Amino acid sequence: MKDALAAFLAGAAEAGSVVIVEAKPLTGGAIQENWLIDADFRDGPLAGRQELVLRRDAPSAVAVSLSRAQEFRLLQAARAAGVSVPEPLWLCADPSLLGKPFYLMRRLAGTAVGRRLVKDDGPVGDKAALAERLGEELARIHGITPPSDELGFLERPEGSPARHAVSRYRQHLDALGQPRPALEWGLRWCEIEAPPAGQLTLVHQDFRTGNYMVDDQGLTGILDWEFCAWGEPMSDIGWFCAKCWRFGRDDREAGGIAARAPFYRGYERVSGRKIDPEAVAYWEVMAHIRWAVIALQQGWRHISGEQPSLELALTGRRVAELEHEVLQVTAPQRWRAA
Amino acid sequence: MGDRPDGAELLRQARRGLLDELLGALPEDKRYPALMVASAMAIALRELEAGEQRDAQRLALEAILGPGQGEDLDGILLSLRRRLAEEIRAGKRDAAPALHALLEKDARARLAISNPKLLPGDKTA
Repeated sequence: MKDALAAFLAGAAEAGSVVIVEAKPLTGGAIQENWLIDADFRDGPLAGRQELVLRRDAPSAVAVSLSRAQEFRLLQAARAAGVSVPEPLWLCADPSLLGKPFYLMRRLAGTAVGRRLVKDDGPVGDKAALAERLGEELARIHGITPPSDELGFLERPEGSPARHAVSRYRQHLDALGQPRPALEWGLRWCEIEAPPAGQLTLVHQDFRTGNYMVDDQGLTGILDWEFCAWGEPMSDIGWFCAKCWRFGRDDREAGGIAARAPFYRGYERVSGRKIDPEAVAYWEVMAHIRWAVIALQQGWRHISGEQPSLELALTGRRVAELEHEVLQVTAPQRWRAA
Repeated sequence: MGDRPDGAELLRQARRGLLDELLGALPEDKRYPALMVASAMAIALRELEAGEQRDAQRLALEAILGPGQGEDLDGILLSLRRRLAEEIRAGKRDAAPALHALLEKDARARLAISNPKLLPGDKTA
């Protein structure tokens, strides 16, 4: 692998030669393979030691996630819109080099580990400032709107994004083949309460604590762009604030790091869009359903023998806490004149 | 009759050994994987201790849906759950308090096994 990669890098970076100093897999990619790459470039515009990350499709890619080539274009679009992202460097769509298409990006400093970030003595000093900054970043993501030639591959919901999500998750449950009455209950509530379609924007769909990098200076970048689509911007706010992504710090409703106020303030200032708390509350219910469906899918990858993994197996068992939460927030009195 | 120590007793002691003796000797990057192993053992242990639940589950479902059908208990439970899921999706059970209570009780029972720390009012660590 090293020789093929070194040759590719030398060509892509117009370097005389490239030596791969280190190449090791990074943990945490349940869907993609991430590699840490340190390389010495001789001559050319990037001459010297470069710290990179290589992302390559895993052997069993989840059908709903984007390809590396699409993700690469999203990173370029996000960077152009002023979002803090790892700088996308080179894409190799040819699978013959490393078995699958891959791309390289500059490595960001810091950590993304959610359970560390929410700690009081963790790497984040001013958590309210971080939440405000994240609100600004999300607003810039939502500033990208359809139509877009370079992002023409993104999925567009039919009808209202909420109803689209309901039918999508029902399809996923049907494909899994195990009846889940608690999730059906939540999905029926979401169907009845679905807000009408608003203006579509780019939605990240995995914008949450655990998917951004932070060092002692603050935010270094937003990661994990493989679930992007055109959709309802409030769905990203709901995902970020949902109880299931607070890493045990339920009192800090913005991603386990701060109150909602600074996050909302940053978002509203940059987007010029007013956050509708009722819409966000709706999308928080949907967030738990979505996470439950993903947890079931991940558990199934273990059960089916496709990818035996304790992490996937344990994720599958998280469905109980997610279903429990869905039932708490969709109690009978919360149904519109049923 | 099975031999003692039984599966739950073995699992409990194995987990104690992992946490008390092995964890501290592991390199930093193996700490989290080891904690995942301990967590899986704790879930399996609680599931063993909770014992057989299927008869009670069948009774609860049949109280709402009427008699279930199937070759065996697993088949009956699956057909009951499937019918319930279909009826909820079709809008035949909207906001039904008795059904909500049943679903909540079932979710609580599963949560008590998978992650009891998250049960409202539960203070066991």
